Amino acid sequence: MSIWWLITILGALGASGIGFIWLIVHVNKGNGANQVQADLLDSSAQNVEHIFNEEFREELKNRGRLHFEKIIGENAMFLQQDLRLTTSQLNEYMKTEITKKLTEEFDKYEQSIMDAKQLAIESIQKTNAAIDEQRALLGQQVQKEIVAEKQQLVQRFEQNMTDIINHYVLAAIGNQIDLNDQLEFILADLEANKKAIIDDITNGA
Amino acid sequence: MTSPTAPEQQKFVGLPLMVVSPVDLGRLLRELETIDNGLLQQTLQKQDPKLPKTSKMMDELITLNHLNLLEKPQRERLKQFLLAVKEKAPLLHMSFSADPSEAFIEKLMSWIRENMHPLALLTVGLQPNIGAGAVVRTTNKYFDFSLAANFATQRELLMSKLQETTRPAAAQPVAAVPQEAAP
Repeated sequence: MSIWWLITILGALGASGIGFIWLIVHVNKGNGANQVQADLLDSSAQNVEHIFNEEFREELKNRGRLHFEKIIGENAMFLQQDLRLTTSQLNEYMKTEITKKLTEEFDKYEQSIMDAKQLAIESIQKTNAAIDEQRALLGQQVQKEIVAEKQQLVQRFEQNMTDIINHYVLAAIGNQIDLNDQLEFILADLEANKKAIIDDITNGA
Repeated sequence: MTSPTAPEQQKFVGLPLMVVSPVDLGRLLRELETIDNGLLQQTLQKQDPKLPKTSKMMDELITLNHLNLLEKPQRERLKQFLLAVKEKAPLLHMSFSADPSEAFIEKLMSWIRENMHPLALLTVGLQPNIGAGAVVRTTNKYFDFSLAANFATQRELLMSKLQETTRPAAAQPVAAVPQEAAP
């Protein structure tokens, strides 16, 4: 906006100078044309030189420099603001994106953990079911074996009961059984089987 | 098996109760042979025949059968008799839980020779596991007169007694046994 003001001022000054020169030329047109015209031209040139002298140009340069510096400062300020805004937006964007990405990754990670947990739970449940089944089978089998073993023990005891009792009697009173006391019973047994014994010893091979 | 019935055996009364097993017969035969050799040497040396000292078993055999072993024919008959008995006499094998005494064996042999065969021989074995009684083995048969066999024949009685004893115990709780205080 300052440049336009400067250009407008310079344009107004230029137009007023040109109008002044044209007025002088037309006023002095009747009095000796060439001399007057030449004087006017010199005068205008001197005025122009007087108006646009070194100081004025230096002032204009200083004004222009200051204005340019001001504009550059303003632009720098705008640029700094834009840069800050952009940085803040970029930060916000980065934060949002990173948060979004992290959230997604965390969701995926959580999902994968949940899947793994679910798989582990299913596996543990299957294992528990298999263990329970095996335990039940093993219990039944052990129960059957215990019953079979018990029956076998009872059967074995019944089969070998005479040996067991005989062994017990021998251990208990074996030392007190005298062979002479048994002679009567032995002879009774021989008497009972006498015929078979005689037949075998007399007719045997 | 046939019993020895040779003509010379008819003059023999039998075997003393001390003669139990074929081993005893072998001993008698060896002793008889020794006696025969001794008497032959005395004859060759032209000494008066004198019967050497004999064992108790031989003494009983001589006494029982009224033999004079100074006479060679009688010695020969005795030898033939012993050989015939060793070869043909019925043999029993009896096993006992303990080693039987001589008196026991004599009583047993007396019964066997009175009731079964006058020339029966017996070999004695030892089976401590039979507990009591005896096991008799003849030529083809096996007779178990042991206590274990007796228990086996009474197995049903044992089972019934055992069941009578165990059933009430299973049905009713066992009463606590009062413990006496230590002095």
